[in-house]
Amino acid sequence: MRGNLGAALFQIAIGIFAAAVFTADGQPRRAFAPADPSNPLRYLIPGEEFLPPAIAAQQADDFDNPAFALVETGERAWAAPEGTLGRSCRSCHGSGNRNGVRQAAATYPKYVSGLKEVITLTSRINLCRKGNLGADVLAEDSTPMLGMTAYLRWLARGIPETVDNTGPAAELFERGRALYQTKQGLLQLSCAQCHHERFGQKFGGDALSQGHPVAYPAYKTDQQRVITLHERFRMCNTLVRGKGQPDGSDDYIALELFLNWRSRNLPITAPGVRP
Amino acid sequence: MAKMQGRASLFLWAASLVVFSFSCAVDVSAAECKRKTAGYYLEYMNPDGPARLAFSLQSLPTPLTGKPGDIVRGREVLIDRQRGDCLSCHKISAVTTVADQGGIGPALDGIGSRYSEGQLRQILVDAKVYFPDAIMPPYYKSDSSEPSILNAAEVEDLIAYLKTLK
Repeated sequence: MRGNLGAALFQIAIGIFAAAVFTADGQPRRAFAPADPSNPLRYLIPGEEFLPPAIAAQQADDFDNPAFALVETGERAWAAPEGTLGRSCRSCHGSGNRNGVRQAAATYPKYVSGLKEVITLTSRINLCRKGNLGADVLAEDSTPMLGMTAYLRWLARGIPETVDNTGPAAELFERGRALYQTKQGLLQLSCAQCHHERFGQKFGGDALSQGHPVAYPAYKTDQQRVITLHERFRMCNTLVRGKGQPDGSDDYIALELFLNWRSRNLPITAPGVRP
Repeated sequence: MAKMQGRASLFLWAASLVVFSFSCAVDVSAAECKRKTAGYYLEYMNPDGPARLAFSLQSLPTPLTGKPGDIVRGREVLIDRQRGDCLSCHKISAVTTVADQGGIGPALDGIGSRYSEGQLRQILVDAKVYFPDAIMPPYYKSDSSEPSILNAAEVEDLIAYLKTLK
């Protein structure tokens, strides 16, 4: 009986410090049903479930979440006239929810019939800047672009992911699905091997999540800056000792499309905080 | 007094049972994840693949370099994130200098008594011979046209260190 004291204390310590993603009967503590029956996941577990509680709390608190500085930058830029045509984003989109601008960020990457291609939210912003503002094109990871994407994704916060993978987007979607299962880098690991087959297990100090992109752009605490989803892809590429691709590459857009489809029905939580 | 002790231990029993059920959830998760995602999971796992070979049947008893490795260098290879990086997936209680240790593969405590040197070499060169479901990559490729994660000397150093984990 005496021996149980140590065991009990040990168990208490584990109970306090380990994030419990699953209940004792193996069900996820908090999960959403996938929108499609064909989704390979039975349930969608939000990324926050896999985070240390302190970081999840930091994300949830708008005053504590470091990415909110960028959201405010984006909010100001939205109303500020820029470019040769003397207009701002608000000149066309208004301040309400005209044409569903609040939900818009939950629908990208999206097929644009005028361009005959699938584009990301950052490309959409740049197209608008060029065509409707007469302003210059911004780099994907520049501060003003991160500000605008963070702002638009924040507007869509709580709205379920609703990307469309059918019709003309189907080809790129299938490319993303194949890429997700392709072994990469010197370590020859695929996205699926960690984030589909082994979510919840510990990789170093972090628990592997299901890899849903709904919290991006996100503040990376170890780097103390906000990163794009494509930079997250590059970091994973580096972890398996492979070569990453630049933001906006065709492969990354395909992967983004597949991942967004995979997380359909999961609410947007951007801007996130990640260790 | 004896009764008091009885009550205290009873309380501890209850407490440990309650907390154990919580902590179990973390350990159980991997198996549960597999079960819950089975429809898709099985596509990757190929459950009807070649059965595991008996351990004694296959091993690589000869050092790749022809001589035994160095324990101290082996520990460095094990920790180095750009070389072995074993602790991203495995846990070793003896290594107290690395706080964040992984749980994807089994803990390596006592691995030196569980496997022979030849078996350790086989696991490092190709773990799938013993564990077809493992995602552990082959750490050494003898064919120079293929990229190898570790060189022969690093593998031998690593084996020398792993043998000390009794």
